Amino acid sequence: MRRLLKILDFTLSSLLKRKYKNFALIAVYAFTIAVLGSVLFLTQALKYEATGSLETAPDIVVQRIFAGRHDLIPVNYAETIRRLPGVKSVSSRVWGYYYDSLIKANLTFLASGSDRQTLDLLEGRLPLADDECSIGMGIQSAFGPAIGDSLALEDSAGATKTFQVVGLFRAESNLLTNDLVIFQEQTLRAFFNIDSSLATDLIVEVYNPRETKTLAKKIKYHLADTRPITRDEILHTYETLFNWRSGMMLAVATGALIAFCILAWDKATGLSAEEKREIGILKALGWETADVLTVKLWEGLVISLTSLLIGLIGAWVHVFVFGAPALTPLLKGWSVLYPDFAYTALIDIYQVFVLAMLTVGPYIACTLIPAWKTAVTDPDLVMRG
Amino acid sequence: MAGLLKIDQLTKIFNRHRPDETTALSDLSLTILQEECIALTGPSGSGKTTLLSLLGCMSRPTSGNILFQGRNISRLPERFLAQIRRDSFGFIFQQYNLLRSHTVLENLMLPLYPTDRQWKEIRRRALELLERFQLGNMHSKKITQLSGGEQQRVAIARALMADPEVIIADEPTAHLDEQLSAELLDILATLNGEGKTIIIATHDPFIYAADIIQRRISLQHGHITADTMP
Amino acid sequence: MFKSWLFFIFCSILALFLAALLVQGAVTSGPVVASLPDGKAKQQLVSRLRLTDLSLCSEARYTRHPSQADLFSAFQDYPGSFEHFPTGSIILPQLEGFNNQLRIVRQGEN
Ligand SMILES: Nc1ncnc2c1ncn2[C@@H]1O[C@H](COP(=O)(O)OP(=O)(O)OP(=O)(O)O)[C@@H](O)[C@H]1O
Ligand SMILES: [Mg+2]
Repeated sequence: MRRLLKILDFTLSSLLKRKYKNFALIAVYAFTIAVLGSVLFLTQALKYEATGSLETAPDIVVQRIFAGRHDLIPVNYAETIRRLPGVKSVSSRVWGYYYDSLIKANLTFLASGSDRQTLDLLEGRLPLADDECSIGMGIQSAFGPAIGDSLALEDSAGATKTFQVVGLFRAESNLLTNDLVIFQEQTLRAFFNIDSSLATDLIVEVYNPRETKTLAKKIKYHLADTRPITRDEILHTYETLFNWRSGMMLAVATGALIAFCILAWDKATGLSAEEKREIGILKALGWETADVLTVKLWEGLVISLTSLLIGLIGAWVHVFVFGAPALTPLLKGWSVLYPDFAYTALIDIYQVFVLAMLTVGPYIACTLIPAWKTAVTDPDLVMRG
Repeated sequence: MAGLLKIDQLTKIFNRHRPDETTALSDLSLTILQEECIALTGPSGSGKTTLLSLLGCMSRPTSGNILFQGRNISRLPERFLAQIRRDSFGFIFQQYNLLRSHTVLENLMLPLYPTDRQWKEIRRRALELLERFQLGNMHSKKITQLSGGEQQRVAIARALMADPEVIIADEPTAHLDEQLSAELLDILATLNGEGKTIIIATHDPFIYAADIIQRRISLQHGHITADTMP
Repeated sequence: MFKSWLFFIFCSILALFLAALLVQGAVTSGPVVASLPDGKAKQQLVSRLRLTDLSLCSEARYTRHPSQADLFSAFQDYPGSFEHFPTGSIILPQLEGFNNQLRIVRQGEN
């Protein structure tokens, strides 16, 4: 124990001798970890947010696929589905997109159900009349209407219609409602000119959640041109969207990992002549190979541990205090309506551990291996200068 | 006086079975007694450094044996060699081999870091030695800030840190002027007086003709050509 | 020894700080809703409005409704562009529910 501490002390003073180099190294290393950590924290926060709130998503959504593409579904398909045993209810859903060419934003128009109750996360109420709508925060911040103002929209026939804003979704729900405009179903049908015999998709509720999968199969069997999407599939979509191997992680992580590899490679490609001489001297003075390796182990640990801690704290501050300003452009792309919301810290500690192992492990290996080669050679080389 | 180091048919061949194979020492036998002060002389390339590094457990012989205090050390595992090197031999290198960017004190403490001795104790010992070599006020200076003579004394002090029985010096006066060489001789004489065995490899007549040298061994092409006691 | 202790103290402080942060956000087993702020309210919203997706990236159908988009939507949202970079490289169209298989029928087989 005493031996280890003394060797650590020696390592620390060696590292301090090359202050600038080592601080620069820690800075780069910590930055790399902060980038990886930010992606990890952000994707996990989004994943938990998605899977947590979408737990109450419809049991089954039934789309119609026409010529390989999502198409309007005949409402009478509901009859066929309703007859299947285990089906609790079938309702139709109407929704669509609306593109605003002025600020180049895509809005999602959605018909509210028959439900007339108020929602906790809605200020005001849902539309009850033909000329009313409720909007998400993203639309409010992009266009600036308040409750009581009206939206003027051009319908499918080219006529301008005005809708009074009677409800505004609260900021807490931004991630779900940011670009939404809610209308009554009849209003939206008229607006998009969707015939009453058609709907965007059908929502199926089942009695027993364990039968969902079988029912989805049966629907597909009876209505061959449909595509049933179960809630599990929706949740799975978000699981995979934000997991390790997903695009997000991959896109950023590859860059960061390359930086990390360059860092490690620089280490692994060998020791400087000066470092070799130092190892030779230590050995000549009676240090064992194990002692020399202890120095290198400490060196790797000191650098990587410091960087890891600083990097992870930095990532935390970046994502959960500042709202990940460096990563949102990636998610935003060129969409104009990006939810401006504070990410809630939801973390899978296990993955943080994996990240730590994946960055600290190779780095220590990279410091140890080249030193090991030098440390096992006879020390008499230093006698010849 | 007892035989401290006994060398038996020692051979060292570098780069064996390769075109640049070099026989540095061949079939060398020698006994070194306790408290002897030996000068090892010979032309350049005769194998002096090679012999010293074998004696000091810094490398292994190709064949032959080295007995230190009756123990055969030529086949010991690395771990034990390091320990013997640390506890029983003090090296004074031609190039001093100090860690240049560290302080004088750190350099002195270096050999005892990988032991179980207490930090305070090691530090006290280092300060004592610095005091003895008139370096007391320099302990926090960096090696690069010292003069050649001061560096030499730091190197000697470091060799004494573990209180070794044998002091091995390879061309210690190569970089020193006459006055510093004389100083070094004084120090070595004192150490010899304290009961340490001293082995010096040198070209320098100032050393090998000095009074303190009790025995002079000449090497040539890896063989002993003369072993005299002036 | 002074430096060693200083290092340990430094690391411990950082580690404790980090641990405090991580534990605060750690999702332990059990329903995730419990750890969501307004979890119940969000679930109410989702079930009432019958939502299926996060309104995260509104630039293309397959990024606005990743769970609902078909495989072709990636190629048709904006003429002349088959991809929405960078979101398009992060959010890929989902394969769920598409299980038709092309089969080759050799001459003479049926
Ligand atoms: N690592 C090595 N690899 C190959 N040959 C070596 C090696 N070390 C020493 N030699 C050879 O061994 C021989 C003896 O070298 P050594 O260094 O012992 O001589 P020396 O007597 O100390 O010479 P000098 O007085 O110049 O220091 C030389 O011919 C040298 O070339
Ligand atoms: Mg030599």
